[in-house]
Amino acid sequence: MIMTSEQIEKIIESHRGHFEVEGPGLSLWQGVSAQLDDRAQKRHRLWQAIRSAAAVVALVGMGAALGIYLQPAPVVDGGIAALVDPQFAKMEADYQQRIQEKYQQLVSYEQADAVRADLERLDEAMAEIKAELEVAPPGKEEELVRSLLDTYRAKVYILERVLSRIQMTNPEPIELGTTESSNSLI
Amino acid sequence: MHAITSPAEEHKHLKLDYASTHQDIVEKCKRGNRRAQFELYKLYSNAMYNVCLRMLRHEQDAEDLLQNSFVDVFTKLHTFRYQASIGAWIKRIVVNNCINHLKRNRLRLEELEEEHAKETAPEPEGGNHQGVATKAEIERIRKAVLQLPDGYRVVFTLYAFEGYDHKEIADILGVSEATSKSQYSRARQKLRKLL
Repeated sequence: MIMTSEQIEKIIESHRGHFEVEGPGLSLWQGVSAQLDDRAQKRHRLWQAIRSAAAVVALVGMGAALGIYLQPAPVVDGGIAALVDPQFAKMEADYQQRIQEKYQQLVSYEQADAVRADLERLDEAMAEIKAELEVAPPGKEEELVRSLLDTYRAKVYILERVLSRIQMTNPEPIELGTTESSNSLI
Repeated sequence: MHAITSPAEEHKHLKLDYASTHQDIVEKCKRGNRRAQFELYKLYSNAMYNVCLRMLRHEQDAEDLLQNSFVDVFTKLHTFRYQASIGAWIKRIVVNNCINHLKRNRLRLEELEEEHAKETAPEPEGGNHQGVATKAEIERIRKAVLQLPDGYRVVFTLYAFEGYDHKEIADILGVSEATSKSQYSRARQKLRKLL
């Protein structure tokens, strides 16, 4: 039977419920629940890293110059966020730039080894997110990039706090012999 | 004195209702109560699956989007302030995720508009159809909607099935209201041809 557009609309309006098909039911819930657990664990690990970094900031503030010379200037990487959205890519590049600047300032001071350990822990978290991003299912990339940007933000925060404490207690930077670069810690 | 009800009896009173806030469940979900999250999932997952399926057409994509959308729902729930019903709020997250997915796969409304601009045809005589339909007719319409090109299908689904108006659709899709209207009009014509 030929129907007009109005009749089609009317049928949809009067039988909306009949157009519904049976969904996957409760089978998807396991996936939702697992993803929620995974996120909670990641958030927990990130906060652990931030908390321990905060403890290091306090330690440095008390004048504990126990450390080693940190390796200088990391290099900005290709920008994985560009795969998802140019806006994210720009933000990622900005964060990397800021981290690099702070890092260059930091390597000119004697520093506690623990600072390096905490930054490395954040690097591990970022590497995990980046690896996930490469195999992310549709709709997941944006959320992962946001996590990545959160981690950059945490790193900038830690570097700023460490630097400000160091500069308060030890305003004179040390002389560095070389300016070799490293890809880590960004 | 309050009567004591079992969780099973309690659940009988919960029904999918776009006007309801389900405040008790929502508050428990906000506190991370997994059982409450499961209750909310049970209430809305089937309706949201149908939204995904109409928007994306493919069952596997619909399931993936549904799963990710519910993760988003629970992680963003702390921002829900009861300005709308919880059903409408969840649906908006699902719809936005579907649109983002389609945009990543090159959803282009304007191009479709150009391509099909000459497909207009006069409406046939209507007969006596008064909106009462058989199962077979409903199934034919449902399948025909899924055959519409992406741009048409998205606008048609949002307007005819999900109850958004053209202004809301324009906001969701980031296009003008006129584009939404013209896509809808062409979707109707195309649908009629498919039937």
